[in-house]
Amino acid sequence: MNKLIETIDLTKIYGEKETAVTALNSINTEFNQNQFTAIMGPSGSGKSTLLHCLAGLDKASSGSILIKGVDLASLNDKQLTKMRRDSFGFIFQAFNLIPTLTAEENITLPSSVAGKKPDQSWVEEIIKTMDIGDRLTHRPNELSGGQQQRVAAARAMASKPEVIFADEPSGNLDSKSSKELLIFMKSIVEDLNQTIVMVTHDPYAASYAERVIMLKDGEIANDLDKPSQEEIVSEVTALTDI
Amino acid sequence: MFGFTKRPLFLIAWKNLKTYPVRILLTTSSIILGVAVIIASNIFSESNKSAFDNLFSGIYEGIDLVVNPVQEDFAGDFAGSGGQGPISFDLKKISDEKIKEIENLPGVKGAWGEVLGFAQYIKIVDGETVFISNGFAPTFGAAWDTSPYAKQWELVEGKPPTNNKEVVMDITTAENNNYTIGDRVTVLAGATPASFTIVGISEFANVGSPGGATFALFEFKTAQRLLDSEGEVDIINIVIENNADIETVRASIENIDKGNLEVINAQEAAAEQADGIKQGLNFFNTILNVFAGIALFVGAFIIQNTFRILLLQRTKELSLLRALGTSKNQIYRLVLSESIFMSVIGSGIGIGLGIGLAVAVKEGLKYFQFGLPDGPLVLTTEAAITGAIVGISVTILSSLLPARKASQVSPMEAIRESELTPKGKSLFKRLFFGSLVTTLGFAMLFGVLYDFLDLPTLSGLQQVGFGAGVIFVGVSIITPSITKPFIFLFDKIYEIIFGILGKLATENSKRTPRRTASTASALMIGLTLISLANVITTSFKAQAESVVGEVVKADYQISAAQVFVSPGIPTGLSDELLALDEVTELARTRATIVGFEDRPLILGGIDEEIFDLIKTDEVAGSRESFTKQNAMGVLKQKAERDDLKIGDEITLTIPEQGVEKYIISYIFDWTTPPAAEFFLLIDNYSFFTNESLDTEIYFNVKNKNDATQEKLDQIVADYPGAKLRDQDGLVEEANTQIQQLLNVIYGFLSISVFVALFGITNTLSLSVYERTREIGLMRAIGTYRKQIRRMIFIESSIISIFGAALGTGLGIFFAWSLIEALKDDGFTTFAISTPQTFSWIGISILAGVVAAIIPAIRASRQNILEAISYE
Ligand SMILES: Nc1ncnc2c1ncn2[C@@H]1O[C@H](COP(=O)(O)OP(=O)(O)O)[C@@H](O)[C@H]1O
Ligand SMILES: [Mg+2]
Repeated sequence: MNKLIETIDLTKIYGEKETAVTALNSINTEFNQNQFTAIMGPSGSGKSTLLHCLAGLDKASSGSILIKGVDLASLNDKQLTKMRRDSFGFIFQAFNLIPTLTAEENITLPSSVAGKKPDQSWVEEIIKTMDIGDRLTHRPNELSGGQQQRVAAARAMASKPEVIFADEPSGNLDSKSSKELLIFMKSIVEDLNQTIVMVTHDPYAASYAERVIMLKDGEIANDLDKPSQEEIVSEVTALTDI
Repeated sequence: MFGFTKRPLFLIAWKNLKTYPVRILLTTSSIILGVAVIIASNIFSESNKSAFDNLFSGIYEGIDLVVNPVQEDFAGDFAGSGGQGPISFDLKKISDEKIKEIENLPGVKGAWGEVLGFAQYIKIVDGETVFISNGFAPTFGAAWDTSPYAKQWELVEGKPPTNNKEVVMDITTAENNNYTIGDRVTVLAGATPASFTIVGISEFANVGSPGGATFALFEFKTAQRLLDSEGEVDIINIVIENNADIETVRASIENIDKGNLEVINAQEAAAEQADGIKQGLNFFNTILNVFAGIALFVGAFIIQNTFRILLLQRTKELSLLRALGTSKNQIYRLVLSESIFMSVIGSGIGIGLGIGLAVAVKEGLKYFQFGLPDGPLVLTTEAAITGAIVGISVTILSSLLPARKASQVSPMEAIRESELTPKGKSLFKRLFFGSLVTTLGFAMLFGVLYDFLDLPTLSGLQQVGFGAGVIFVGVSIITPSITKPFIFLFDKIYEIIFGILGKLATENSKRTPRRTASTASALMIGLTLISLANVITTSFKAQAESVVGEVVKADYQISAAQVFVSPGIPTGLSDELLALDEVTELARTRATIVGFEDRPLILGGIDEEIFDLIKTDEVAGSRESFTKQNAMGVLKQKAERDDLKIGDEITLTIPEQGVEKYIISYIFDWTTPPAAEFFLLIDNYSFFTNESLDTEIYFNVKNKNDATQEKLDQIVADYPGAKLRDQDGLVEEANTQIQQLLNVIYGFLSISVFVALFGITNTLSLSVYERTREIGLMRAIGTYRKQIRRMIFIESSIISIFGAALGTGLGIFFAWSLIEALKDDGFTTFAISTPQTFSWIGISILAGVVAAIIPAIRASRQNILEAISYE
C-alpha cells in the first residue's frame, strides 16, 4: 500500500511554561492511500489537534508531517493554502457551508476559488451518490442537518482530493442521517478509491473504518486493524477505565 | 467583599471606552471632522475680524477728525456700496488750498491731505507683463504724508520720496517680490506706465500693508498728477489741540465751505468701517459653516451606524448584564453615558484639530497670496462652546435610537448560540413611506417646471429646491429597500468579472440591506452635492461657450486686464487700432455715473458699430434714430421692468453739467447684459468724448491670421492695462474662472466624502467580524489570504458604487431641474461633464477600497482554527 501521510515525533504543545498543555506527544504513524481511518479517544485526548495538524490548519510544535514526502513545515501560508485547496477535502462537525451560497455553489466552492471549472460528470456522480440532486439550488438554511453534511461531503469529494479530513462529521446528526453519511463515506473509499481520516468519539461511526487509532493523553494507545464494533467498544471502555 | 460602587454602569461605560480607544476614534471620527471645520472657520473669521479692527484703528491712528468732500447724492451712494470697476467716478475732491485754511483755524494742531488712487506695480518676467498684487487685494497709489502728525506709514528703510522719479514701496510687496532700495520699478497709474526708483520701504501701522494691498507712495505733487487729483486731495486728516473741543473744531471746519465739506469723528469712522468689512466676513463664515453642517449631517448617519454596529458586537455582554438583573432603562443609560463620554472626547479632539486646520488654512492662503491682514489667530470662547455643543448634541442625538435598540436585547441572547447577523424587518413600510415622500417631492418640483402646482410664499426656484430636498429625504428612506434590486443589477457582472468572490461579496451586501444602504447614504450625500455642482458649472460653461460664440460677433475684444485695478483702457489704444488697415470695424464702450431718479446709475456710451459686433435683437425703434442727438438706447429688460416705450423722456443728472433730457429711440436686447442699461452714442456727448478711458473695445479684422495677431499684440503691449482676446480666449477665460470656483467647492465637499469613508470602514469591520466563521471556513478549504482581501474590497466597491450612483443620479437630476427652473432667466444649456462625473465615481470607488484596507487585512489574518472550532 502507498504511504500518503507520515508523522515523525509529531508533538503539539499549547501555551507556555506552567500553563503548557501537551496535546500531542511524539506521534509516529502513517496513513495509507485508499484507506478509511478513524481516530478515536476520550474528550481532550488530542483527536482534533492531530487532525488539524495533519490538514495543515495548525502547526506542529516539533516533529514533522510528511505529505507524499513533503514536509508541511517547509511550506509557507500560500503553499499550505494551495495544498488544502487542491489535495485535501474537509468535513467539519458543523458550519460547513457558506450560508449565502446554494448547495451546488458550496459543492464547487474549492474549484471556484481555484478559478477552475469543476469536473462536471464527476460532480454529477457525487451528487447522485449523495442523493442531493433535488436540493442543489437551496441555501444551507433550507436543508436538514443530514443534507447539509452530505453537501459538505460532496464538496470534500468534488475536487478529487488526495485525502478527506473529517472532524466528527456525524456528531450533530440523528442516527438515520448519521448512518447514511457513514455508508456513503465507506462507499467512496471502496468504490472511488478515496482516502479518509475521520475523528470521532462514537464507536458505531468508527466501525465503518478499516483502521482505528486510539488516542489517550496525546499518545497513540492502540492501533486496530478492521475491528468490529464490539471490539472498539471494549477497547474504548478499557481506555477510559484505566 | 468586592468593591462597591454607587454608579456601576457609569463605571462599566468608562471602562469600555478606556479599553477600546480605537472604538472611540472610529465612532467620533466624523464628529471630530465636523467640529474641526466649525472651529476652524470661526477662528479664521474671528482672526480676520480682529485683524481688520487693528487695521482700521491703524488707518485712523492719531487722527481726530477727517474732512470729506460732500458728494452728489447718487455718487455718494454708489461709492459707499463699493462699486469700483472700469468706470470712472467723477467723485468730488477737496481743493488742496483748504489744507492751509483749516490749519489756521483755532484748535487745529495739524492738517494734511490724502491722495489715493489706483496704481499698479508692473514687472516684466520672460517678456510677459506681470501685475504685482496680493491675490484679490487692491493695488493703490498714494501721496507720502509729510506732516509730523501723520503716523500711518513709517519708513523701515531709506527716505521719503522727494521728486517725481522716486517711490516708496510697502514692505509686503517689497519682500514678496524681492525689491530693495535703489531698484527701478514700473508703475501703471492712470493711463501710461512710468519708471521710478525705490527710495524707501515702509510699513503701515505695523501690519506691513493694509489688507494685503500693494502701495506705491509718491511725493505729494507727483501723486496728485498721477492719481488724477491735480490741485486736489481726497480727504484731509486733522489733529486737534489737546484743550480744544472736538465738536467746536468740527463745526468751524464745516463752516469754511458750507455744504461742501463733511467732517467726521475718526475713531467712530474706524469702528464703522471695520463693521462693514466684518459683515462681509460673516457671510464667508456662514458658507464655511454650511459645509461644516454637511459634514456633521453625514457624521450623524455614521455615528448612528457605528453605534449600532458596536452594540451588536456587544450583544452578548449587554444581554449578560440583563440576565444579571440590569433593567432595560439601565442599559439605555449605560449606552447613553458611553455616547456622552465619546461626544466630549470627540468634540475636544475636534476643537484641537480645528485650531490646526485654521493654522493650515491661514498658511495656505498666505502661500497663495490671498491678501488678508496679518494677525494672531483668535479662538473665541463662543466658538469653542458652539463647536462643543454641536458636536456633543449631534453625537448624543444620533446614539438615541441605537441605545434604545440595545436596551431591548433579550437576556436569553447571552446563553443562546445565535446568528450574529441581525434579522431584517420588513422593508415594505419603508418603501411605502419613502415612495410617498419622494412622490411629494417630485410633485413640488415638476409642479414648477410643468406649471401645475404653485405653492404660495415660495418662489419657483425655492419650490424646486425644496422639492429636491424632499426627494432626497424620500430616497434616503427608500434606499434600504432598493439595495437588493440595485445589487441584483450587477450581480451577474460581478460574478463574471470576479467569479465566486464577486458572488460572495454581492450576497454579503444583500444580507444586511439596511446597513449597506445607510453606509452608502453617507456617501450619497457628498456625491449628490458634488455632481450637482459639477453639472451646474458644466452647464454654465457650455452656456458661456455658446453665448460667447453667438453673442460676440467681433473677432477680438479688449478689456481692462484687472477689473479692480485698472480703471479702463486708455483711449489711445482704440485710436491706434482704428488707424490700422487691418481693422475693418471697431466699437468702443465707455461708462460714467449719472443720477437717475435720485439714485446713481451707470450710463453706457457706445459706438454705433457695436450693433454689428455684438448680437443685437431689435425690440422697438431703430438703430438710425439712436444716432441722433439726445436719442437714448435702452436694454429690453429695463424697458420691460420700468414700462418704457419709444418716445419716452428720460431725465438724467450729469455731473458738472446738470439736468439733461433724452428721448428713448431704440429698445434692444443683448444676451449678455453689460453693466449698463441706458446707452448714448459716444460721439454725440462731450462727457463721453472727453473721457480718457474705454471700458471695452470690440473689433473685426480683415484677415484673422498670425501676422495680424502679431501686429495687434505689439500695439496692445504698450497698454499694460489692456487685455486682447479673440473668441477662443474669451471662452477659455470664462471656463477657467468657473473651474476654479468648482475646484474650491469640490475641496469643501470632499470633506463629506472623507467622513463617509469612516462609515464604510466601520461597516466592513462589522461585516468581517460577523463572518469570522465563514471566512475561516473559506480559508480552511483553500482560499488565499489575497482572495479574502479581494472579496472585502469588492464588497466595499459595491457600497461605494451604490452610494456614488445614487448620489450622482440625484445630483444630475437636481441640476437639471434647477436649470429648467432658470430657463426663463436665460439659462438654456444643460451639459454634463462625463469625465468629471466618472472621475468622481472612480474616486468614490477608490476611496471605498482605501476604506476597506483595514477590514480586509483583518479578515485575511483571521485565525482559521478559531473560526472552525466551537466550545
Ligand atoms: N487552542 C488551544 N489552546 C490551548 N489548549 C488547547 C487548544 N486546543 C486544544 N487544547 C487542549 O489540547 C488538548 C487536546 O484538545 P483536542 O485536540 O481538542 O481534543 P479532542 O478533540 O480529542 O477533544 C485538550 O487538553 C485541550 O484543552
Ligand atoms: Mg475535538
